[in-house]
Amino acid sequence: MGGIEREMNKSDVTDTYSMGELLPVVSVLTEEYTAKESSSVTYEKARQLMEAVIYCIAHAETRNVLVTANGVIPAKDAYRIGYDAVVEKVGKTLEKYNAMMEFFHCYGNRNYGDTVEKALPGFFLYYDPKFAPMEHIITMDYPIFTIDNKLEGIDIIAQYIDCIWEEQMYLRQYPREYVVDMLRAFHPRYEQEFFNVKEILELYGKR
Amino acid sequence: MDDNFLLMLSGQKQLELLRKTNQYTQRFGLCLSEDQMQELMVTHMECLKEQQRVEFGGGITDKIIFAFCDSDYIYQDNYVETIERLEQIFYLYKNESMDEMTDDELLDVMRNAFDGPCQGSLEYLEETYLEKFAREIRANTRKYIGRYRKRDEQI
Repeated sequence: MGGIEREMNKSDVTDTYSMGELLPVVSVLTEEYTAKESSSVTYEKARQLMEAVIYCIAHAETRNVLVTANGVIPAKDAYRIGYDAVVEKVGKTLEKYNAMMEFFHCYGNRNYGDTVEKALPGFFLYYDPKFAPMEHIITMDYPIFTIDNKLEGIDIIAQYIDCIWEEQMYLRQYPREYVVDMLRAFHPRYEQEFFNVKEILELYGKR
Repeated sequence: MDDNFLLMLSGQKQLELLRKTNQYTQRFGLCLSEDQMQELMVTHMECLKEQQRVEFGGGITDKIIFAFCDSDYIYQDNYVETIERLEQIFYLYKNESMDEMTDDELLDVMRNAFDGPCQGSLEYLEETYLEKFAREIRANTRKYIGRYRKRDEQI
């Protein structure tokens, strides 16, 4: 993805902004959510919308714009900047995904193929950066062990796609038939198994 | 996450809105005293807490008053008690109908039922009529979601 981003932390947001400063932002978001057709929401929904606000403000921190010469910017501005950052990240992640799909190969492993070719498009179709940006929706069944499971929403999906991209770059060094032979030697029904293809090559390849 | 913000969101402009309702309801012989308004506000907060809902902006009590004040079954002696019960029923069925209905839609259904088949009975409204209605909502009917509602549709 490029660029160095300051690590985002939800507790940084609640340390920087009090509940009294965040509530008006949540209130506006709640009105948008209900389209002003309902005067109340459930506790669960209110928590979700508060999390959505905090998630977006945490993304504003990555742009190092929260603190100016005049102090911390208002929460509503931080939210707007953070929301724009989330939407921009979704766009860039989608671009990278589309570029990756030009050369992606699952080598016959159904889980690999289904996760990348079917599940990930589902994320981009249903991801809601406004009311649930912290939800990553899909289960990411294809295992990648270097993923930071503390990440949420577009952050974890972006990292997931980055890892799959690197994995595909690694696998492309080998002829496809070689990769398939190695997978079949590891497990005769590798097509139906849930393992990481790159790991198998690293552990058992070139023996 | 600290849930105190859920309490902070609720009930900030209620009293002022309740005072304004008297200007309209007086023509129907209904009026709220300051004590009764305070009582309604307390009930309002209790309802929200009981049904685990959060309210922002003005709230629903004044809307309920405007929706029901011209009912033949409401008079000064039972005014406050009826509004309190209607509020409890409203929030219960907002949850029971999974927020599929807007406030106005649910109030519309409640008012038509209260004056119609329920003949002023809050028990019948809550335990029979709306219970059946909410069950239909939950069975994925889309008949009552605003723009999908057909004209003259019978419940």
